[in-house]
Amino acid sequence: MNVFYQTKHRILRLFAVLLLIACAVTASAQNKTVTGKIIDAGTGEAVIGATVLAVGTSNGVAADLNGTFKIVVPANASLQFKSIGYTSVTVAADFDKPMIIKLEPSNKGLEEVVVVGYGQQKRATVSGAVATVSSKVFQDRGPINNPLESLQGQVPGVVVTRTSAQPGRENWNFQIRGATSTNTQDPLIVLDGVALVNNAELNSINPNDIDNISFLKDAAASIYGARAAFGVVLITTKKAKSGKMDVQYLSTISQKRLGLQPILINNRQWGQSLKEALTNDNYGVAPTSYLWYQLADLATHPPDSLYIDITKLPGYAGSANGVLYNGTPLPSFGDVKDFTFFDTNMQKMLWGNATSTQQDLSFSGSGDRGGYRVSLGYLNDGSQLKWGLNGNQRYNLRLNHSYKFSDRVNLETNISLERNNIQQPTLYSYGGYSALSNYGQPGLPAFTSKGQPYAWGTVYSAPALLKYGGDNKESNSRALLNSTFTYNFAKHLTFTAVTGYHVWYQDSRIQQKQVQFYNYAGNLLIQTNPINGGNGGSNTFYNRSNITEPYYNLAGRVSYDNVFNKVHAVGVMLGSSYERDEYNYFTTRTYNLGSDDIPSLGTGVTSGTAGFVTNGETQNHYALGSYFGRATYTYNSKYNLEVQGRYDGSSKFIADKRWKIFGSVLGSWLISEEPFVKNLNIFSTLKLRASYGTTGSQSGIGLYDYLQSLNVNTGGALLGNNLATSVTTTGSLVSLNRTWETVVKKNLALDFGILNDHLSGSFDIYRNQNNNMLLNQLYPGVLGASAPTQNIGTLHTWGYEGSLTWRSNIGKLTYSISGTITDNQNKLVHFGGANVIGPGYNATVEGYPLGSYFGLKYGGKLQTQAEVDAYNAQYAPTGSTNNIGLPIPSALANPAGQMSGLRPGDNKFVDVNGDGKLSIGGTTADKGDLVYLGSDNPRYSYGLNLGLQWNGFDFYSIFQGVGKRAVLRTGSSANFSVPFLSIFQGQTTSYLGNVWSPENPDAYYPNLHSAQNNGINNYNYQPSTWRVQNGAYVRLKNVVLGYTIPKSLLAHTHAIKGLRVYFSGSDLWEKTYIHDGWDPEVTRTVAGNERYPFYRYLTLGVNVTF
Amino acid sequence: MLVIGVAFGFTIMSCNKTLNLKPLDQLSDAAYFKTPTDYKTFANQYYGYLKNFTTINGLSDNPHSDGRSDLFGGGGVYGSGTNIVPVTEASFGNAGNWTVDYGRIRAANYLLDKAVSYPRPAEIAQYVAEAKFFRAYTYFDLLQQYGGVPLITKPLDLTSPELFGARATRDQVADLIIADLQAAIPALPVSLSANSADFGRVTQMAAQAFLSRVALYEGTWQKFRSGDAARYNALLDKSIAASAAVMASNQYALFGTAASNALGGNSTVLGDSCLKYLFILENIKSNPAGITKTANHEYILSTRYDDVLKPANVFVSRSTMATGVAQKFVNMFLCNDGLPVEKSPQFGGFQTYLSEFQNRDNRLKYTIKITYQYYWYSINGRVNWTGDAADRSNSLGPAKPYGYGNQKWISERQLVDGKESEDYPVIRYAEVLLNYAEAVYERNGIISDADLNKSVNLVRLRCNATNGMPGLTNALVNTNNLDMRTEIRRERTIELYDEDFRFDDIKRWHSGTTDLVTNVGGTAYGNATAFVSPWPVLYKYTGTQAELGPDPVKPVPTNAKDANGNLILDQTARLFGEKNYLYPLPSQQITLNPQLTQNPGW
Repeated sequence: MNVFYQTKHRILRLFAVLLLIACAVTASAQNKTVTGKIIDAGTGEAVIGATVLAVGTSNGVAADLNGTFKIVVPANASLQFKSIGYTSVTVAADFDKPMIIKLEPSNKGLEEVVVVGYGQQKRATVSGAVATVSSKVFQDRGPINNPLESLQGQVPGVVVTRTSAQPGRENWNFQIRGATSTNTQDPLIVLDGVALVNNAELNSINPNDIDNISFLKDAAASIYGARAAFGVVLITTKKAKSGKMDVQYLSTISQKRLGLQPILINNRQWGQSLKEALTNDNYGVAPTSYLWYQLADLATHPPDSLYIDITKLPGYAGSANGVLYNGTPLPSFGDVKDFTFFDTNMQKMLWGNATSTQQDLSFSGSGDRGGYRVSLGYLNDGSQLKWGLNGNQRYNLRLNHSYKFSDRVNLETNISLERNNIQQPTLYSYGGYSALSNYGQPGLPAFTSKGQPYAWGTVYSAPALLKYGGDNKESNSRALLNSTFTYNFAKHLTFTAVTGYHVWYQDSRIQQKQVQFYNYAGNLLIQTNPINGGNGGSNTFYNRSNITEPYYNLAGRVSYDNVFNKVHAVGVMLGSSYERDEYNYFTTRTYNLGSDDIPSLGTGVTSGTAGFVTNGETQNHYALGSYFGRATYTYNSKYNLEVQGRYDGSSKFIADKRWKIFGSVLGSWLISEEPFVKNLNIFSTLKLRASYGTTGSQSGIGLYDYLQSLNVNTGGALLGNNLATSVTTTGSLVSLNRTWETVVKKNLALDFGILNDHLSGSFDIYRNQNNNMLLNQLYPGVLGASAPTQNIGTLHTWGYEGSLTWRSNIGKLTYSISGTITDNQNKLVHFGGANVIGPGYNATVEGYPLGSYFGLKYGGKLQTQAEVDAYNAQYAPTGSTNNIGLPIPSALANPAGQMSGLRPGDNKFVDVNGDGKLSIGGTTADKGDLVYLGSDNPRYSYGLNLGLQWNGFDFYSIFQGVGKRAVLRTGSSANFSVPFLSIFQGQTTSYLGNVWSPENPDAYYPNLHSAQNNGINNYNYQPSTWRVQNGAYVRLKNVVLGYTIPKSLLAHTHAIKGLRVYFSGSDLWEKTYIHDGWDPEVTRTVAGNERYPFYRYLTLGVNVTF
Repeated sequence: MLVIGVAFGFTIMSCNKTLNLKPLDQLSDAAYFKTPTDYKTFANQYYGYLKNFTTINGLSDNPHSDGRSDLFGGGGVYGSGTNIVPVTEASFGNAGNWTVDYGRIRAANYLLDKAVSYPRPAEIAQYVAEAKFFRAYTYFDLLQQYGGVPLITKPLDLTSPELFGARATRDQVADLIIADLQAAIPALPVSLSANSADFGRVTQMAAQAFLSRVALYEGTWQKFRSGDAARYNALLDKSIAASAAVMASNQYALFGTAASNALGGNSTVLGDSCLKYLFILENIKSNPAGITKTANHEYILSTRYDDVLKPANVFVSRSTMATGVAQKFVNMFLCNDGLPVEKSPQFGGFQTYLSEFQNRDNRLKYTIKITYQYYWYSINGRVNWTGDAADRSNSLGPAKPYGYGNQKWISERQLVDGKESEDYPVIRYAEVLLNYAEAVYERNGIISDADLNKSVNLVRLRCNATNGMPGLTNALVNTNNLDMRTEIRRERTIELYDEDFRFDDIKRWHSGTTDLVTNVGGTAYGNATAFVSPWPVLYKYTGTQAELGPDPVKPVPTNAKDANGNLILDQTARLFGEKNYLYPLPSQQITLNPQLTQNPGW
C-alpha cells in the first residue's frame, strides 16, 4: 500500500515539474495558461473529472486522471472548480504557479453516502429509487410516539396514514408505493443491519436516536428478496461524533389540543329536530302518543330543574308506565327512573386537552480507538380521554459503541433498552354508549347529584365506566442488540459479520371492575355493570398475559471493492444469513374476584369452577435462510450498473417449495458528467436511472400451513357438568404447492440539479406487478373445508413520485422550498373472477382498484309533489318492487288523501342504465344503476416544506395533504352523518339549518326522518354520488420558529456550547371538504380507538449542547 | 479466505435443516387418534351442531323456522314462496346450510376414517356411533332443505373426484341416514343418568327418537307425493318401531305428569302451567315451585345451558317476546269440549279482548299473552312468585291490546338479558308420542283409541286435566264430524309450536296449497276502538328497553278486514308453489360443479 502511494507521489512531482516548464514556455500571450491540480481537501487524492470553468464564459475543461488540468483564460479570469461530491470553489486564476485546488467534500444533496442493503453507496452512483431522510425530520416536532408519524408528506412514494390518536396505539399505516397485494403488506424495516420482526417494534424506539432512514422503493429492495415486495426501510442510528465529549440535552413540552371532531347537538336541538323527524315519519301528524316523541317534546320545554324523578311522582309502580307529569303522561320507558335535560355534551365531557413531554440526554465522543454515544430518553404522552388511567410513557437507553482493535479489525456494538407503558381504561368500549361509540342522547349527566355513576335505563355513563371500570396496563420492554464485526483481509477485501438479537417482552394486566349506576337523585341503584359472578365478556375479571419474542439474526458477507485503471470501479459482495423468531404468549384470566380492590389471579372466589379461570397459550416460530450478492460496476463515475440477487428459503413452506431466487438489474447514467452536458453549464447534476427486478412476499401464509394440525377448543357444549373441550381439524386443508408472491418492480427516473444546485429534484415513474398473488380459491362446498390460498391473483400498481427543492439565500437569509408528490393507482387484474359488487365499500373487485366504492347517481331533491308523483309513477308504481329501498306508495288513512312513501325534500336517483327502473346490480357485468364512486386509496399525496434561516433565527413549515380520496362512512360512524339513524344517539350539528324545505330548496340534507322510519333514511342516505365525501385536504402539518443563541454570547459561560429554543405547532390548520365533522385523515369507519380525536400540538422546546 | 469459505459452506449445508420447524402449540394430526379419549374429545365438537336458541323465531331466521310457516304472519320470502335462487347460501347462525353442513359431514367422516385403523374398535365404538348419528343428523338437515344431495362418506381432498360428482337420489340420502342411525344405536349408551359425566351425549333412545322423526318425515313425504307404497309403508313401520322403542324404554315421561314424578322430581306441583315452565326451566328459581332441571324427563336430546357455565348469551326472552302469532294459530286451540272453535258451542267469540280465551285448551293461555294479564322478564322479573301486588308492580305491566304476543321461551325471573339458561329441546318425548300417533295413522289409515291414549292424549291432557277436556277418540271424531288426520296434526302444531317443526311438516304433508297459499287471517281485534297499531309488529332491540313496545308511529293500517272485522295483515297472497317444497341450490355451487342439477322449477 505504501509502495503504491509513494509511486503516485513520485509521478505527481514529476508532473508538477513538467507543468512548470510548460508554463514558463507559454506565459507570454494575452490569454494565459493556467495549470494545476485538484485534490480532495481531506484525503489529498486527485479529484478525477472535476471541471474547471472560466467564470462568465463557457470555456471549461475537466481534470484528468491525475486531477491535473490546463486551461487558457484571460488574465483577469476567475476559475470555478466543481465536482460531484464537493463544494464548488471560485478563485482568481493564478498564472504564476500550478494551482493546488483543495475541494471540500460536500455533504448535501446528491453528494452524500446512502445506506443501501448490506452496505453503502455514494449518492452519485446509486441507481435504485432510494429516498433518504435525515434526523432533521424528527426535530422540533414535540414528543413523538413513533418515528413514522414524522414522515407524512416527507418522502416521495411513501404514504403514511394514521388511524388513531390513542397514546401508544396510533397504529400508523405506511405503504411504499401503494398497495402491492391484497394480503397484509408491511414494508421490511431494518435497523442497523438487523431486520425488525414487525413494524410495532418502532413503537418503543426513540426517534431522536435515529440518524437517517433510507427507503428502498424499487427493485433496489430485491437484495432483501422474499420480504422486499412492499419496500424496505433501512434505519441507521446515531453514532459517535469525532472529538471530545459532546453532551446534548433536548427537552420539549407540548400541549395536545383537540382537533377536528363532529360537533354534537344539545338537548334542545335534539328534541326539536326529533319532533320534526318523527312528525315527518308520521306524514305530518305529530305522533304524540309515542314515547320518543313525548321525550323529545319534554326536551324542548323541560322543567326549570331540568330533572324529573319519576319514582317520586304519584302513580309510579316500578316503571314510567302510566305516570303523569303535570297532567300529561310521561314516556312509558320500562326501565327508566328519571328524565334529565341538562346541557351536557358527551364529546366535551370525554375529551380534552393533554400535556406531553419528552426529555433526551446524550453523550458522545470518540478517540483513536473508538467512539461511543449514550443516550437516555423519556417520553410522557398524555391522553385526551379525560377519565381513568390514560397515557403512554416511554423509557429509552441506547449505547452505540465502536472499537478498533487494529487497522484491520473493528467492532461496532449497539445496545438499546426500550420500554413503553400504555394505560387505557378497560371499559372504554364497553356497551353500546361507551367513550368509543356513538353515546346516548344529549341531556344525560355523567354523574348523579351525589357524584355517583349515572345510568338512564341501560345507557351507562361513559365517564363513569372509564373512571371506575378498571385499568388496562400494558408494558412493552425491548432489548435490541447488534454487533457488526469487520475484518479487512486486504485493502479491497472486507469481511463483515452482523449478529442481531432482539427480544420483546410484553406484560399486560387488565382488570374489569364493577360499576354501580344510580338515578340522578342518587338514591336508587339502577344498574350494576359489569356483573360479578359470571364468566363472559360483560363480567368482572382480572387478566394477565405475557409475550416473549426473541429474534436472532446472523449474517456474514464478504465484499471486494477496487478501481482498475482509475475508471473501472468494481464491487462484489456475497453473503448469507439466517434468521429465526420464537413467539411465546400466554394469557390467564380469573373471573369473579373476591375483591375488585385486590386484582390477583389467585383471589377468584369461584376459581375451582370450570370456566372461571381461563388460559391460553401460543407458541410458534419461523426461520429464514438466505444467500445474497451484489455486483456493481461504475465506469468513470458516469455509467453505473448493478446486479443483485437473493436466494431465500422459508420455514413456512414445505421443503421442496421452500427456496426461490429474487434478483434485479439497476443502471444509471450520470449525464451531467458527459462533456456535452457539462459544457452547457446548466446542470450540476443530471442522472437517468432505471431498474427492473423481482421481490417476494409470503404474507397470507400461516407458519405451518403445509402440516395438518388440530385445534383444541374449550368452552363448547355442556356435557355432564362441564363445558366440553373438543378437538377439531383446522378449517383449511393443507397446501403443498404454494410459493411466494412475486412482485415485479420497474422504475425509471431522472435526478437533476441546476443553477449550481439551487434547484434540485427527482422524478420517478414505476410499475409493480404482483403476478402470483395468494388468493382463496373456491371449491365445491362438499369439500367441507376451505381450500388453501393459491398463487392465482394479479394486481398491477403504477404511479409516479417527484420532489423538487429550491435552496438559496438573500443576503444573510437562507431559505429552501421543497415539495414532494406521490401518486399511485392499482387494478386487480385477476382475482379469481370476483365480480360481485354491492353499494358502498368493496374491498376487492376484479377489474377495479382495491377499496372501490359503488353507489347510485344522485339526481337532486324532489322539490314538488308533482315531482314526487312523477318519480313514483316511473320507479315505484303500485305492485312493483325495487332493491334500492324506494318505498312503494300506498294510500294512508291518516291523514286521509296522503300517500305513503317519498315526499318533497327526499332524494332522487338517476336511472343510469336507462332501463326505466332503479335497481342495484350485483356484479360488474350487471351493475344496474350503480356507478363507480371512487376509491378509498388516497391519491396525489403531497408535502410542501418551507425553511428560512436568518441571524440565528430559523423558521420551518410543512404542509401536507391528499389531492383525491373518496370517503363513504360505514359502520357506526355512519350514525353521525345520518340524523336520527339511531333515534337517541348523538348526532352532529352539521344538518342544523341545512335541511330541505320549500324555502330552502338547495339544502344539502333531505327531510329529517328518524329511526322509526329508517326505510326512508336508508333510501336517502344509501351510497351515492351525493353521499360520498371528498377526502381531499391540505393541512399545516408542522411549523417551527427557533432561535439559536450566538456562540459569542455562550462563550463566557464556559460550559454551554450551543443553545437553541424553539416553538412549534403541529396540525394547526387544515382545509377539508368532509362535512360530517370527522377529520379528513380518519378511516371511513372511525371505529374503536379510531374515535380518539386527532390533536393539534403546541410545543416549546430547548436544545442544549455542553 | 479459507475460514470464510468453510463457514459459508457449513451454513449452506445446515440451512435447509434449520428451516424445518414444526408447530409448537398445536396438536398434529399424525400424533392424534391414539386413545379412546382422543376420539371422544374429537366427537365433542358434534354437540355444537345441535339446534339451539340462536335461530328460534324472533332471534333469527333459519331454513326450518316457524317464522316461515303459517303460524306467523307473512312468512317472509321463503314462506311466501318469493325467494330466488341465491348465489351463496345465507348463514343462519347455528343452523346448517350447504357448506356448513358439508363441513360437519367432513368432521364426522374424519373420525370414521381414522377409526378404521384403530386397533381395538370396541374402545371407540360409542364415538364412532356418535359420528354416525351426527352425520345422519346433518344429512337429514340437507335432505329437508334440498332433497337428494351428493353423498360424501369420506374426507375429501382437493383432488377427490367426488368434489365434482352428481347428486344422490332422495332415497339414497334417506337410506344412508337410516343406516347410520341403525348402525349407531347398538353402540350408544342405553341411558345416562343426570349426574353422569356424560349426561347430554347421544343415547340409544335419542337415536331411536331421531329415527322416528326421520322415517316419519320421509315416509309421509313419499306418501303425499304418490311414492312407492312399499317404501313409504316400510319407512312408517320404522318410525312406529322407533317411537315404540322409546315409549317402551320407560326412561322418559312428559313433564308435569305422574309418570314424570315417578322418574324423579315433582313437576305435577306446577299444575296446568307445567308446559310453560318446562320451556323456561332453569337450575335457579325459574318457576313458582322452584322445580329444577332434574325433574325434566321429557327432553331426550337437548342443547344444554347453565346459568353460570353456559348462559344462552342470546336474548331469548327479549327477542321471542317481540314476536306474535297469526290468528290462524290461535284459532287452532280447541275449546274445553275437545271441539274446534268453528264447532264448539263453548267458543266465546271475538266480542271483547278476552272473550276468545274463555273455555279454551289451557295451553293457549301459556303460549299467547292475554290482554291485561301481567307478564315478567329481565329487570321486570318476578319478585316473590306469588303474583300479588308486589310481584305485579315489578312486572312489565298489563299486556296491551295490540294482538297476540308470544309467551313461549320468555323467562319470568329477574335476569340480565342473555343470561337465560333453560335447555333447548332438540328432541323431546312429546314429539315421539306425536310421531307415533301420526305414523300409526298414516300407516294404517286408522288409529285405535288405545294407541291414541298412549300418545296424543298424554300430550293433550297433561295441561287440561282439570277443565274437563276429553281425549281424542274415534267416537269424538265420528260424532262431531271431525277428521282424525286434522286432529292429530292440530295436536302436533299446537304442542310443537315455535320449535321449528311446522314449516317442514307442511312440506312433507305437501299441504302448502291449503296451509300456505291463503292469506293469513288478521290478528287484531275487530271491536277494538282504542286500536292504534297493526299487528304483529316486529320491533328490534337496539339499545334500551324503551325500544320494546309496539310502534305507534306507523300509519294507521288500511288493511282489509275479514268477516269478523279482523285485519288481514298478510295481504300479499303467498305464492308457495310446487318448487318451494325444496330450497334451490346456491347457484355458485352449480357453477363450481356443473354436475349438480338445480331442483325442479328453480
